[in-house]
Parts: sequence; structure tokens; C-alpha cells
Amino acid sequence: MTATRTAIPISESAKPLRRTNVTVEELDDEALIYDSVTADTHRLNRTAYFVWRACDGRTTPRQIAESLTKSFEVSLDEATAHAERIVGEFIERGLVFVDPLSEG
Amino acid sequence: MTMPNRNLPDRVATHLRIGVVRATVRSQPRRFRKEHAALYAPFRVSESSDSPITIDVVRKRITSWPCPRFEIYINGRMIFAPTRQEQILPYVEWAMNWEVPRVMPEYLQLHASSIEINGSGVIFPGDSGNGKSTLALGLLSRGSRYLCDEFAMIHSESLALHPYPRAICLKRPSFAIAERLGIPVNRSQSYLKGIKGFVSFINPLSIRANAIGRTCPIRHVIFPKYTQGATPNLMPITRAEAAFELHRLCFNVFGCDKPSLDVLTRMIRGAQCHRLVSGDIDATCQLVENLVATQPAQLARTA
Repeated sequence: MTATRTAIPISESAKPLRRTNVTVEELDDEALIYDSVTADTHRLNRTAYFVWRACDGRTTPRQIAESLTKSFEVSLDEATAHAERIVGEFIERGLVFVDPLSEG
Repeated sequence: MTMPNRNLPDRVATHLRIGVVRATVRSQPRRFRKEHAALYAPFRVSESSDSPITIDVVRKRITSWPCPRFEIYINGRMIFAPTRQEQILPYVEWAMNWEVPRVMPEYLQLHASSIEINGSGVIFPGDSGNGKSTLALGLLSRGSRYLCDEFAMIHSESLALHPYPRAICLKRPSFAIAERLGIPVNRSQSYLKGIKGFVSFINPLSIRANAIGRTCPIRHVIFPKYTQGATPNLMPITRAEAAFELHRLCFNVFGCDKPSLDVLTRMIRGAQCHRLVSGDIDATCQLVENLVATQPAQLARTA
């Protein structure tokens, strides 16, 4: 997953929560996710896997982006755009949920 | 359709152990028996009680049809009905390919050719047309050992790569390459095999007596892509990228006795992964041999 597709836009206050009923296999700094409901396999590169781990239901995309800037050499604006795109793609693929009540 | 329960007096049973695959082939047509024996005689065994695969080739005469018609049954189910004798062998090979993933859940089975080079397992996964068999044949002709041209048989517990040295299926465009490598191809005995077009089968043991590889750990996963006239080139890829693609190329994602993704990721942690642009066969084989010869010490230590 490289965040190049058009993804679902999400609000700034949304706190995405990753699904727990999927199989996650970490390989080096990347990961594969197998969704037994859809029988789809997803590949997450380093950035996407970082964002995936941060989708804990308590963190906004902006806060995820701030974490990204500490681990990767990117500006906050770039990191925010990345985080929002990746979270949007996770939502599109049914890998994370956003609680409607968490959206402002 | 299940096999008719009738007396077939001239049917001859051959029991085979082709690496880890055991099978019994019972056939009537004489021409098929001869062709099949030319490929599999070295794999004949005497015992038969535990063969998980039984293939029956039955001649059927239909009064309204001028030619004999044949039926191929696998474990009692009819799956092919070729009209000509020369179609039987490729269909029997095809039938084996269908059944092996179904009856051998203890192996994760990938669409890949596989070879052994000095105790290291190398797999070349890919869809048809990427040059898997030709590459395996090229390496075999240069001293590597053959495991399979279509399957990587990975034991789900030990993660070892096992041999299934079936006859090498070579497409017509590769006949000349094989001949240039000094491997005789019987062009007069080629078969029409579905979308592959005309193919010929080569007994790996006809190339040299010690052609068959041993069970070994997988050290290299190399995705080949044949491009005519290209300069051979290897490009490293991440293990996640390789495992993702291997999952797609798995014959028994749901049929393996362990979760396939778990087997793949455990296996791939001990391997280096590359994409290969293959061109000239000698230069491509040399590139692969150099890679295997220079494998990192930490991979060799865990062998």
C-alpha cells in the first residue's frame, strides 16, 4: 500500500481504529495483512505500517503525522497529507473504522 | 462424473514416487503407456497401498464416433476426455497438477520452478510465460539440481523445499534454447497443451544421472520476467513485497494445513528476494549462480 490511490477523505478530528480480526505478519519494517472476511491480502510499506500501528482509536491523523515527522524525514505538511491519504485508503479497504462520534 | 465400474482387462498400473509425490497411473492406451514410461520409468516403485493420487486413462469406443475417445479420471472423477491419443500425456500431467495441491495439505505449494544449488533452495515464482521452466532447465544444464518446473513444495512445518521432479514441460519457443544447451528435444513428439500451445516433455534424468536435487532450505526467491534481447539484471525487493506476490501465486492458500501467510512469512525471513529480468540464458544463469554463491553469511549459517 503506497498511498497513491484516491482515498476516502476523513475529518481532522476522526480517530481511526484498526481492525483486530485480521492477520498481520510483520516483515522487516513492512507488513502483510490478511483479511479473512474478504480473502484479500494487503501489503503495507514502512510508512503505511507505521500509520496502521498508530490507528488505535485515540489518535487523529494530525497526531499520527506528528509522529511520522519524528521517524521519517518529512515536513509536517507532507506527513499530514500522507497520513490522511493512508488512513483514507485503510477505510476504503475496510481495514480501519472511524467512530462517527469521534468526528467533530 | 465417476469412473464406470467395468472390467478393464488390459489396463496396466504403474506406481510412482516422484520426489514427495506418490501416484498410481492405470492406463489402457499403449502409446500413452510408452510415452509416460519414457518420462517416469526411473520413478517407478513397487508398493501402491498409500498412493494419494490415482489416475485412470480409459479408452472408450463410441459407435457414432469414428475415433477412439479417451477419458481421464483422477481419484475416480472424470476430468478430461481427449479425443486423440497424443492429447493424453499433457492432460495426465495437467491432472496431476490439479490433484497434488488437493491431496498434499502438508505442503504449501507455489506456482514456481525450483532448483537446488549447493544445498541452497532457489525458487522462481511467476505466472506462465515468464520463463520459469527454461531458467530451471538452463541452470540444470550447468550443474544445478532440479526440484520442479511448476511447483515449489514447501513443508508447512519445517519450511524445507522438497523435490517434485516431474517431467520438464517446455514450450515450443524454448525448444531451440534447450537444444543450444545440449539438451535433446524430441520435436516430433510435442503436444498441444491448452493456452501453452505446443510443448515437449523432458525427463530431467535424461540430462544427467544426478540431476535431482535434495530437500533444502529456501535461500533465494527470484521472480523472473523474460524479455527478449534484454540484459539480465537482478533487483532486490523487500521480503514483504515478495511474500505478497507469493501469496497470490499459491496453489493451496486455503488447502494448506497451516495458515498460508504464516508459512510464507516464516519461510521468507530466511531468504533473499529479487526480481530478475532474464534475457540470454547463459548470462541469466551466470547472474543467478553468482548471486547464490555470494549469499550472506547469516543465511548460510542458518542452513
